[in-house]
Amino acid sequence: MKSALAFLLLIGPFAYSASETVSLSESLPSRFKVTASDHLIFSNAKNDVDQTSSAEQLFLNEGKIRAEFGDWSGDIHFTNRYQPNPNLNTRPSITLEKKTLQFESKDWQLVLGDSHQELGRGIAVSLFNEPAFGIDTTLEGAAVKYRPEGFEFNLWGGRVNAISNPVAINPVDMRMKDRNVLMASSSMAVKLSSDSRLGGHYLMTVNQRKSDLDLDDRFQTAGLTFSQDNIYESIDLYTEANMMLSDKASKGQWIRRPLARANYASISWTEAPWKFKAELKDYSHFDFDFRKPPSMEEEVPLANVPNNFSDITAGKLYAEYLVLGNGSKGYSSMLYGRDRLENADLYHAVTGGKISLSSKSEIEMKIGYRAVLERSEITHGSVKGKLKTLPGQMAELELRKQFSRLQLNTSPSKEDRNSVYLTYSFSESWNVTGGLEFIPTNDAEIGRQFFNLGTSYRRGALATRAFVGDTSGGAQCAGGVCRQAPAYSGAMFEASYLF
Amino acid sequence: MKFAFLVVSILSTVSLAKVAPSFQGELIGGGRVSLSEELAKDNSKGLLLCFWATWCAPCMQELKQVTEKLKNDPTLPLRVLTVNVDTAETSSDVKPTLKLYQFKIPVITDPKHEIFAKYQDAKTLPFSVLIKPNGEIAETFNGFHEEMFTKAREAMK
Repeated sequence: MKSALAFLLLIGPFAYSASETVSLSESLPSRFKVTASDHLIFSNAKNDVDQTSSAEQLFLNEGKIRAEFGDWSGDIHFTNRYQPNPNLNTRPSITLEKKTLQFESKDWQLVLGDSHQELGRGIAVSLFNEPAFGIDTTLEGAAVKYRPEGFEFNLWGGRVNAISNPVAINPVDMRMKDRNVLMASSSMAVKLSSDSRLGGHYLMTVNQRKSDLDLDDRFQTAGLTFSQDNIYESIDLYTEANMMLSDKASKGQWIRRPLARANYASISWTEAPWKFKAELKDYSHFDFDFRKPPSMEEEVPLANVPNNFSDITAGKLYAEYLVLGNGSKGYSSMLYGRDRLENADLYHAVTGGKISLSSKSEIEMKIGYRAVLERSEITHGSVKGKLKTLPGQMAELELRKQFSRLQLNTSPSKEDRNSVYLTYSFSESWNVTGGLEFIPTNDAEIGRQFFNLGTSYRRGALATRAFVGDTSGGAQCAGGVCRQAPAYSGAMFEASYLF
Repeated sequence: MKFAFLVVSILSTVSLAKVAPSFQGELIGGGRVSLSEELAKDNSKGLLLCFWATWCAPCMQELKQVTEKLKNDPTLPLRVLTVNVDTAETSSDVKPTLKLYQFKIPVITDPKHEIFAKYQDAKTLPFSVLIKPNGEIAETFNGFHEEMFTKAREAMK
């Protein structure tokens, strides 16, 4: 019985798309709506740890169903995972990952169940979803929002719920097998004028270890946010300040850690065709897991150097010139800071641009240099050319290079990453990409050349992607999140559909 | 277990109609908007819901072409509502980008992707949804398609 149910859930998405005869909403009152989506991955690849092993099959599937009735809505999110292994008696597993009941009127929002929460710019806390890496962390509890004109009040509390079966190849593992994290927060924001807003927030977190109570932590964070647009002509300002008190359990007593702070400010001046922006971040002892603060360094994959979001002070200047007529643009940025985890100064300069040569072709270029003095150096660059060929068709060639010198103060190493990708788009819906990665600094056993071929087809609510070949892994970034992905050697197919 | 089996069986045999999920959002420049209010404003026009981000160059091209088309062709039965999906990393770029490109379009901010997640799982951009005044999804588009405009005329016939 269980296996029959699992099989139905696995083939469910195909069963849905195969039947297009009955419209559920047409047979029910118009205030009742049902939507659903499904996302499926099939992979047949070598084990990412042992590349000499034979290929392993993996089926991953996630479904989301949403029902609405007037101001009420309910969501469920389930996943299926099946990894056949002849040596083990493996069976498909089905997990109900998230469930939400929500009431939303003009001024009120009430959520019972799972919801994504963030305070300010994700500096104090951010429970977010990044499907590329299989991250979906929510608050499982209750949240109330009251937002009449010019005012907003939020109150929420519950436990952190990370996804059990991430539907992604080599996901970032956020599961909290050995602990429970409880959070409660209140925040409010007041509109001071049509262009300015003042907010405040408070967050209390308890990190309960299941195995050893002596490893428990508790955190209290309070913060203020302020934004002001059009200070003088086209100048916009955003500032945020946070303080965090944290304690660590030890032998039945709480031991106070140093007071932590996390401050961020950005000021921009825009007068077309120019845009200037200055940013400042100042994070000190802010060691807290559930955050997604501005890094100010998303231009280059940085996963092969430590990401420091807890003890760093840095400022960045950015300037951009846009040719409004054809979309050509040029930009430069310079970041300087002090990385207190590395105990070294940090520099990062980037310059680039896009030139539209004609209505049919354009070239994009970017180069940059990042150095943590006497610790690491990264030089990165990319060139991308696009050429429209036949009506609706386009060829794209992208070359990338990243040369890194790492661990300069301990055991120096070099990494030279080069890649070429040629993509041909047969229409807006369908493209084929061939790629070659060349890493001459790799050990011969790992391999120095990696060939791959991929295709994607998107039409309406259907998105599919197929891939075959080898990739070297390495730094990958999406949605401001970076990770070190392992190598991949095999074939995969991915599809998602919104019903 | 029997109940779960029943639910799965029903879902496996019934196709779900493409209706636009409801949402509410805060507009840049002030005020709140909901899908139902937006659709009720003008039942002679479809609504193009465009998802975009400041770091997405094709999104800028799409917004430029859509706004120019709407400006130059008043007979087009289409209105536009955009949803910005920049997260904390780049959200300070949203207003400057609107000023730089001189876009004068309604923009809802969706930093937690609460609206985006209702319409697309893969989170790829640019992404647009053409919604009929009765709330049905007429078409979804990945990237900019000239046929957005012909589809809008067809949907309103």
